[in-house]
Amino acid sequence: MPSQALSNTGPVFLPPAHDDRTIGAQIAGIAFEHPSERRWLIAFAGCCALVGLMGVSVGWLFYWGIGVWGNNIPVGWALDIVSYDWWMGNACGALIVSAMLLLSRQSWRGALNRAAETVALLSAAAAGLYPIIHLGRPWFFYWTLPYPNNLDLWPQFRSPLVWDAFDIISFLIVALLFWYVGMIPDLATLRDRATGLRRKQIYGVAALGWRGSVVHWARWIQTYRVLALLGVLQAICTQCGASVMYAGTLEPGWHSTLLPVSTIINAIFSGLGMIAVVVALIRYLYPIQSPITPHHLDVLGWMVLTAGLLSTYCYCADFFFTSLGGDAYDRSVMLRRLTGAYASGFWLIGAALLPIHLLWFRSARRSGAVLFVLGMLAMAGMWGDHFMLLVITQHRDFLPSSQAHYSIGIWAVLTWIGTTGLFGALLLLALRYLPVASIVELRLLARQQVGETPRG
Amino acid sequence: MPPMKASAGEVAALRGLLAQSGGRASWQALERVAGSAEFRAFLESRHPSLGGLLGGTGRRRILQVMAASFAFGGLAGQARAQDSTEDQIVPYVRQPTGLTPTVPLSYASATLLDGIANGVLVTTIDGRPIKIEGNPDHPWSRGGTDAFGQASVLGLYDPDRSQAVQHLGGVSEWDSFRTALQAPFAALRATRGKGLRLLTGPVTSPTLIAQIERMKNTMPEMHWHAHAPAGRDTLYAGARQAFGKPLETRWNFDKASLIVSLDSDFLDPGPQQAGASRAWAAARRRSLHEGRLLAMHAVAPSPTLTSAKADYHLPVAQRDLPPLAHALLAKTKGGEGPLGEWTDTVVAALEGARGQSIVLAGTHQPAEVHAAVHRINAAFGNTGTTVGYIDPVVAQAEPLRELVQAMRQGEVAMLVMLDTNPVYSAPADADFGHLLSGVALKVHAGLHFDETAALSDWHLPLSHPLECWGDARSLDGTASVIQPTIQPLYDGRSAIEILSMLTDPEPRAGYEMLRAFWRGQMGDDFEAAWRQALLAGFVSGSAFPAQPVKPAALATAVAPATTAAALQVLVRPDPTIWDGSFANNAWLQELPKPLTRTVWENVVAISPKLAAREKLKNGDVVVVDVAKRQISGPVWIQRGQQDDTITLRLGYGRRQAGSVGDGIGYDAYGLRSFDALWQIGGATLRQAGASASVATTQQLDDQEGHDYVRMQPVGGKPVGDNSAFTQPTLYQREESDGRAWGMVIDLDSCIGCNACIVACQAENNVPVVGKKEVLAGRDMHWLRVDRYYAGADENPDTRFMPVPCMQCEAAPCEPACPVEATLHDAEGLNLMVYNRCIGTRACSAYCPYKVRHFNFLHYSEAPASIQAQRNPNVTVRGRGVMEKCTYCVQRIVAARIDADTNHKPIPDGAVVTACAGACPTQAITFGNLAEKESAVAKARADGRNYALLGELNTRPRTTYLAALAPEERKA
Repeated sequence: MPSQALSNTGPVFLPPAHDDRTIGAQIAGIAFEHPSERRWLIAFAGCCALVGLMGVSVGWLFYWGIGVWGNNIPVGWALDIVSYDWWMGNACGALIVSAMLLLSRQSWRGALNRAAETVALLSAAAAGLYPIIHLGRPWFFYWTLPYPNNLDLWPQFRSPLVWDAFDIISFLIVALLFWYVGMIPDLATLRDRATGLRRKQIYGVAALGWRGSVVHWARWIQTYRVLALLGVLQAICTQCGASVMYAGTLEPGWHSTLLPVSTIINAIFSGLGMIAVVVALIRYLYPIQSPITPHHLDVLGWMVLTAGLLSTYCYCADFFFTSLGGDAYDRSVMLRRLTGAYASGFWLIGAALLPIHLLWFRSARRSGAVLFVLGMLAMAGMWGDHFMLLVITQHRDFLPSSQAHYSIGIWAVLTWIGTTGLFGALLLLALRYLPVASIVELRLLARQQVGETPRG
Repeated sequence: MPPMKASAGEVAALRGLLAQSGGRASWQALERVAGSAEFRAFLESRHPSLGGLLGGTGRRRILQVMAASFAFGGLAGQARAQDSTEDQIVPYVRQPTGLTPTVPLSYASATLLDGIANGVLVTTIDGRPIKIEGNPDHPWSRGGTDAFGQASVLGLYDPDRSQAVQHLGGVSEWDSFRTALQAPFAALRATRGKGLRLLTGPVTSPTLIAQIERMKNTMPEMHWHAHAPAGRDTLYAGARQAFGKPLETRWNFDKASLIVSLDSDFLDPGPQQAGASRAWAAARRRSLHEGRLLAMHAVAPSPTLTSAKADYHLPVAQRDLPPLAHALLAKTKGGEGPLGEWTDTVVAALEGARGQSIVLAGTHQPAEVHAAVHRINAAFGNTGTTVGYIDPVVAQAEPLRELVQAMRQGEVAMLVMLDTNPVYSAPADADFGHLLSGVALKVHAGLHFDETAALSDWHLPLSHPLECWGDARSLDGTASVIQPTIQPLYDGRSAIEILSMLTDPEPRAGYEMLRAFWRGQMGDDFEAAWRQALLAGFVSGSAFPAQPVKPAALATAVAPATTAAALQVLVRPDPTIWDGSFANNAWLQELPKPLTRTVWENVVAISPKLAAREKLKNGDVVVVDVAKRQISGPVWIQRGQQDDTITLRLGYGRRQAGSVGDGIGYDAYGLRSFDALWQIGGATLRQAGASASVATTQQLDDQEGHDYVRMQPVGGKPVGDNSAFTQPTLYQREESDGRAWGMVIDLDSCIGCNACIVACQAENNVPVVGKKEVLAGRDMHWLRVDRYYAGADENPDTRFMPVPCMQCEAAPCEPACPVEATLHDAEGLNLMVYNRCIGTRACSAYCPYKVRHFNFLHYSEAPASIQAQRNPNVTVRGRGVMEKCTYCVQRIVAARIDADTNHKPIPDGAVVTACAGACPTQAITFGNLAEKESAVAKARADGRNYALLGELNTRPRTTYLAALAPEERKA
């Protein structure tokens, strides 16, 4: 457990009245008593409808083919890969934030980390759909994996797409383990507090026999931290892998060494945006029970601002190097990003990166509504980044004769909306039945605040 | 192959008899068939003239004919293929001689455009013609083909073709038709044919002409009219003015050092294209070897392929062309302005190249321009050296105008229309459809149940040139023999058979009539000569001799130039649909028009200046008004168009073309009148307020500062380089097994004719996607011909660049594929393994040339008869699979197998890709780069050779030879 004591002059992340019992009751209360049930039900029904929509869109896609999406030649990768990259960016960013806070022993993270890890896992789940459905012949998706077969055929290991397939699978495993392992003591708390046999049994099984012994704690904290480290590395690998899919080509605007760096930074920015949105939503859904304080929002605000500034730096560097030294094709891609038919993608990024400067103000950082809006803008901006990267380079690369414009197909939009529904439905289930904040870490924080040395 | 509609019950019965012989297609089986009652009935009804032969000494003859027709028509093989799906499969016990399943057979034949032949070889596999190749021995085409000829295989399998005799809207039979017409014809014979009018399309067939002459002999009062909506009447009228008789002009480019084109179209789509462009390109290459440029000066009111290939070009209003021609003739000073400068330059050049220049005028120029051009050629000493004259190849029948006159006056009692569609294609002032209702008996024969068929009493299905016997002449007069390459798909008859049905006491078979005619022409050893003609595809020595003619002096004073202010409309045949007769051919519909790159419709081409003045942009719908007639269509801004000129294209706005061609585009015939067929003055243009989406395969016209198409000044420093193949790399180059396939495309020879695209489509089963999908950016052509403009909008240079897969040695697409569906072989081919492809589209994203195409929807689904055209040696790619040019790998593999079994290397020239084989100008050279003496290796060593985007270190196997430019443009 983090043992660093906070100084008394620091911000108070937990109201002083909290102790072990009130924290447990508060968090478990959400799982057992379902506060704000009407709001939750409406949201869940909406999300389920969107999941149904996704089913219809994917069914239509499988029946007719990729042509229903609006993709063409040269823009063979369009909204499908944009959405995939965007979801994966959110997932990686959220995971990096949560894991880095754990590794750097920020004991206040307890109120946020469950949200962050859940977001990471569910974003990856939403993203995981695309590598399969975007194929022309999706029923052969497993050909990208090395499996024993009587034709002695292997995937081609030079292809970034193969590594991307490995990446998303291992990312899902790591994110799932990180999320679940971190939750085991909390699940045990729920089991202990549960009324009714069924609940006891379900949470009991989920808690994997946690008894809170010293050995359990020691093993747990080791495992959790190792997984955090793995998660950070995995998220960086995944983002680098995704960007090498572009950087490894000859295409103007893609063939760039800066791309992996900016992709990771943008992923963190986008992931923080998503955390900010979900945190604001949790505060809206559970105004009383939620342990998220304005102090948390304040820290989140600083992080969003930092990531946004780093992202701004990357765009400036890209612009600077391209216009200074880049070749003619790179320069014309840059020009098209600013002024071309799809310049809206770039200006969407501007719409995300400019308002973050509001976060220099304390009142803005501490406002859930402001964070929600800025988080939404960050996500939208990073969606615009992926759109810009993919569509602008592809629709017009080297030969003017190969230019063709791409228009977004309605089924591609519906599919993407469907994935947000999937994400939302799973998130709402998690918020309702699982501890929305880390009980164990909040308890630790409470003890630290009253100066007590934590056990274990 | 899916079963096709049985043509007639009697044929089925005959097939039954053949089948009973246990699969032995032997003489014995034929004996049995010949002796049967079914066969007698068949012969009686189909070929009554042969019936008498059966009993007597003619029996052997019948058997011969049967054997021949079974073999030629593929009846035996075809029947078996059909029957097998119905009852049982019986394999050949003995192979019919000369027929090995899956091995292609080639027949020498001809494709027709406006009745004029182009000698070709038809490749058939298992009794199905699937591909047209050039016939290198043919004296006119010399191995060249055009897009129309290449697409004619699809026309054969068109499911919308007329399949049965129709009478007053109901299905009828040939017998009923014959019976019904016997009485009227008997009456006509009695009145010496008075009231009978025969209307044909343009006719060059010697047999048909002789047949009509015979018909006129027995019925001297009848009239024969020919209607060619995009025909050569103006050419003949011009020759009449100059020489007093209609003549064809033949050019000898080899002896020329200068070409002057007055809106000429010798490189443009048309019956002359394959032959003339080949001769031109060969002469231009030869002149380059001699260190000079066979320069071309061209003026044109609207850009053509000819003006696009000209070294010096200028847009000139149509009304200024006749005065210009007369100025050249009189060698008058040109005066002020660019046209004056052009005139002075050209007159000086003509003076300097006496006897070595060619002046040409476009087919659709008025007769006076043609007459002036004949006189110019005579004045500069070209006649007899670079310019020669021969008799017209198109039979000189009476014009349509006189038929219309007669119909108006009620002199037509019976009208027989053979292979023509006047209701659609007659000038608007004829009002042909209305007049037709006044004719008592109207008979129409055509490939389709078209606009004219709908208004006729009888409609007869015509057989396609690929499925019947016939003959036709090329533009040099060479007579080609047209052989059937498949048993008729439907119950059609050829034009000569239909006429025979009307005039002969017993209808005769086309084959018999053809032989009967040529027996009279070929002299003593007919059988040997006939066999030779069949093998070669043409009758040797049948080209027309040169006519020693001199133009008469100019009689009348030349009218001064008019200075009309109004817009001038040019009506021209469509570059892919021609006069509308190809409207139902989906390959030609989806073939980009060479200059506008638009597909699936015709556009109203206007100049950039006019567009700016009227505030029009591409796709804006405009109404063009001429003399109270109007059409409306989408505008397309054509660079290089003369400012006040509007170009309209024929062939669209079809009402009854078939499921492909109906209801697209505007009908430019609606503006034509007999007096103004090709150029109509006094037009106005106004916006209709609407906007249409016009599908184009190329959105950008400029090279944007790059030199994708390089220009080589003749005599200048070589612009080519080898830098693409000398760049360093960290990777190991893969060793080849001794072969390295490569392609060199000579951009100077490419005239943008698109024959290669259609050839590729036919050879490689490339699907057609339709306008909507082209609009979405999903056209599937494996080979595209890019067209770039350079220079000012008013008068830009035009460059063509065919772009197939570059077959890069360091292919960027290959590392992209996660499942290794695209990879290299040892001969340097960048292969596509279709059944391994899962459709990630990564290869396309990685391809700098964007030559890969993806089957986004179920594009390869097609009617059964269309599927019959497909090349069995090429996979039909399904939905969700990437596809691209393979250098016709199936042809390479066939040659490799052949070489392996014979233990010999593949000789140079043994593998010809479909595009290279189709190219009329031999712009494409293909072969083994590893062999130093191969044509392609030599072409690569040319100083003009360079790689497209070579700086990317992709090491493309396809390279280009820079186009030629005059020496002064060294820049």
